[in-house]
Amino acid sequence: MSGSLAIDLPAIAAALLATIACGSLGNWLVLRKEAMTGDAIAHAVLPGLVAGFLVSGARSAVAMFIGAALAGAAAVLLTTFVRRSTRLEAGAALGIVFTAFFALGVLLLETQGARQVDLDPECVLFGSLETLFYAAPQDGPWIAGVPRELWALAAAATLALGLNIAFGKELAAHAFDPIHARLAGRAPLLVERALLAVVTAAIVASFTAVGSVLVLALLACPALIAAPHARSVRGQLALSLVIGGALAIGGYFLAAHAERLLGSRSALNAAGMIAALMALAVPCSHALRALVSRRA
Amino acid sequence: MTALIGPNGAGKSTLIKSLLGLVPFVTAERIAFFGADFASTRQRVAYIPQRSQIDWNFPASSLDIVAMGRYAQLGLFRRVGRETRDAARAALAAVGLADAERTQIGALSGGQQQRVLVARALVQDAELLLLDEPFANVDAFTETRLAEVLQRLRADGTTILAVHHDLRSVRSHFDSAILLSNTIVAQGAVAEAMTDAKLAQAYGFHAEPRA
Amino acid sequence: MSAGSLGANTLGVLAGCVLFGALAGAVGTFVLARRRALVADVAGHAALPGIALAFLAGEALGLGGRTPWLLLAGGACTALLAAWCVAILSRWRRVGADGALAVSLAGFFGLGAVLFSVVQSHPAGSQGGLRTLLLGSAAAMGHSEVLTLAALACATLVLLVAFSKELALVAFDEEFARTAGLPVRRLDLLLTLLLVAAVVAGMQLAGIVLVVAMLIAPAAAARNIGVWTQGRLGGVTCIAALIGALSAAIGVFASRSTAGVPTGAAMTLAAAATFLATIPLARTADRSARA
Repeated sequence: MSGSLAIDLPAIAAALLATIACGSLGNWLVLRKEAMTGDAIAHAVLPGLVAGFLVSGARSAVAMFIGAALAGAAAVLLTTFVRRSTRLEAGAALGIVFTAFFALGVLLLETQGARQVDLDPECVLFGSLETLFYAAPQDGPWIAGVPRELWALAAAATLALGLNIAFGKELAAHAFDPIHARLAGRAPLLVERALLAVVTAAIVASFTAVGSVLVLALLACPALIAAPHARSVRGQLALSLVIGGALAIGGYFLAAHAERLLGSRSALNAAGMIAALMALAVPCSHALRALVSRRA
Repeated sequence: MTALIGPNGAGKSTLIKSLLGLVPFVTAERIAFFGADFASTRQRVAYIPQRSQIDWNFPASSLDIVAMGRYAQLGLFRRVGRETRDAARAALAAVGLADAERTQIGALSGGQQQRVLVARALVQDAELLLLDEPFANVDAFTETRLAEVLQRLRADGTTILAVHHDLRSVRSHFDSAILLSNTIVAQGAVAEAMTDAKLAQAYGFHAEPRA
Repeated sequence: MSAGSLGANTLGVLAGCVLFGALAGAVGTFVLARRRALVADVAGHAALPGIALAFLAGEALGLGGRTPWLLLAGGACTALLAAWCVAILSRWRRVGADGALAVSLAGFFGLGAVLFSVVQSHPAGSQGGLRTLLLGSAAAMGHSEVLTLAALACATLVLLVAFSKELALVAFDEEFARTAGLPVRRLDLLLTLLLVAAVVAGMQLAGIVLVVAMLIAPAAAARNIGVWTQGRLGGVTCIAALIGALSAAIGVFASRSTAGVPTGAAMTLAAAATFLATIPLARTADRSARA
């Protein structure tokens, strides 16, 4: 592969896969009016990630994922417990529980000397899109040169799409009227837990490649961009992925070529650029919709 | 067809929600639906909430929402097919919304939205219908149409229990009533349950006049 | 940094932290009452681009990028802007309150990431600065930082006390406040200002991610302990301030005595632990109310 392609292609692939994974799941969070849950889970998984890393001694993806899943589940349970016991409003309960978990994670990170590159807080927060690259292996199949982050992302994207296909209608019914879904539905709890589990998986898989800054954006923005134009849940999903994908590619190139375009001295943080673009696109999309309906 | 009536805060909506397990409660009595636990007879009960409980900005047409009532019967991994859509269409026609099937629910009027919720319950083919103030804040056409639908269901053997907000219209829509004021004050045929004495007891007409 | 040494620097930092803790607890009570807890989360993250811009502007203008008041001012500006975005966006259909929070957070935080990559490629910028901002560090606080913090805290507390009755009324009964002629919008703006001031004051200590915990956890704990009514909000505020101050102090001591413990994490855990400890009190109050 030529030089620039070896760097750009993996990064774009990562961004697109993260968009598919987090962007599609984000639709459910937005429809359920739980847009900040993604933010909460993203913070809460940190102690699980660190614990998994420490326990396994090396960057064992499985151990870290299990740790993250357990941490996420514990945080959700604790939040429910807090809300039931004290009748604290949802936002405040989230704010306390999930920051406490994050603090615990930071504590573990800093005191256990787990200062590996992958668990560097800055990398987890801002991603590493600029440093992903394809290294053609000396011997062996070409596929071995693909950065490992992409495999996790591909798995997450597949899981997310699978969830949409398998439980799409139950998720939609639950988002529209959770009480009715609980009363009349087939397996309401199963579907809800499956959603949270897959969301957690997607967040963990996306962390190292795109960072929590882009994960947060993906979990809310593509869905909100598509929302004003959507006439069906499927339509919103499709539109969110198309626009999200386009913005991911656009944002990446904007950041990479900032030197020429904006006169900056070096490449800008790609994940942040994509996130900012997506966030900006939300009010633009709503304004566009308002303009169109006024003309009609 | 029974109306659940009483002053505000008497616990009417709470009672329905407790029966359905939506609100936790403590009781020594056993609550039986068709002689069994609610968990096993869930499919035979349909609940129609107040339309104010729903955010109608959801991206869906009337048909989409009504079809949701059929999901349990459909099963987990099945697609929404023609049979489901036809059932939904029939239910929409029954409530007088046949030509609104493709309309976005956000564009419907209040009365139309309430009728969509009723249609969703219709496709469930339930034997027991629990409604929370179905006639509140709806136009006259909706009120008439809903009353017709409920009467037809009752004739077919469905049991109907509705929290009702307006004392004056109880007689015209319902044949029995439960008068609630934190406890059951009266129950039975409308004429018996809604005597002046019973109403006074429930609504506290003999309370000290407030300064 | 030797443990147990009570030099002037340590006392100054400790005083600053305790003051911040009290401020956060007090402001947090009103934020909690007004149900704006997550706006503090957004404000914290949204300060990042402002700080980066302030740094770059400071360098460009020859003021020196690390002037505390300049950085705080920059952070406060973008945080306020973000809070304004939340208010506007939450009124739009198909966005909602939760969507507004998420979009504002993502947008401003993303912008912050971009701008900080510029800062880090700047000759005067360094890697350590970002880490301190994200996670907080009492050790990084110098004399001027403590003074700036003290000034900000005092000004904020004065404003809070002056308008506490009006803010309490708006929080507990917005309709009544409106009919009583109170300028609800302006009071909300004031609360947002106080919130941003508390967040910005605590950024260096607790870090932008965790500062929201210092605003909410002490207030929530105080809510479990005290009487949560409009009339008695003053008492709850004092309890919250006390819990906040104690948590902050614990945080400082923990970070000084054990190597590597970041101040923000220690403070947050202390505050959260206090909240968890007070949950049984909330349950008993609930049961006795129902009996």
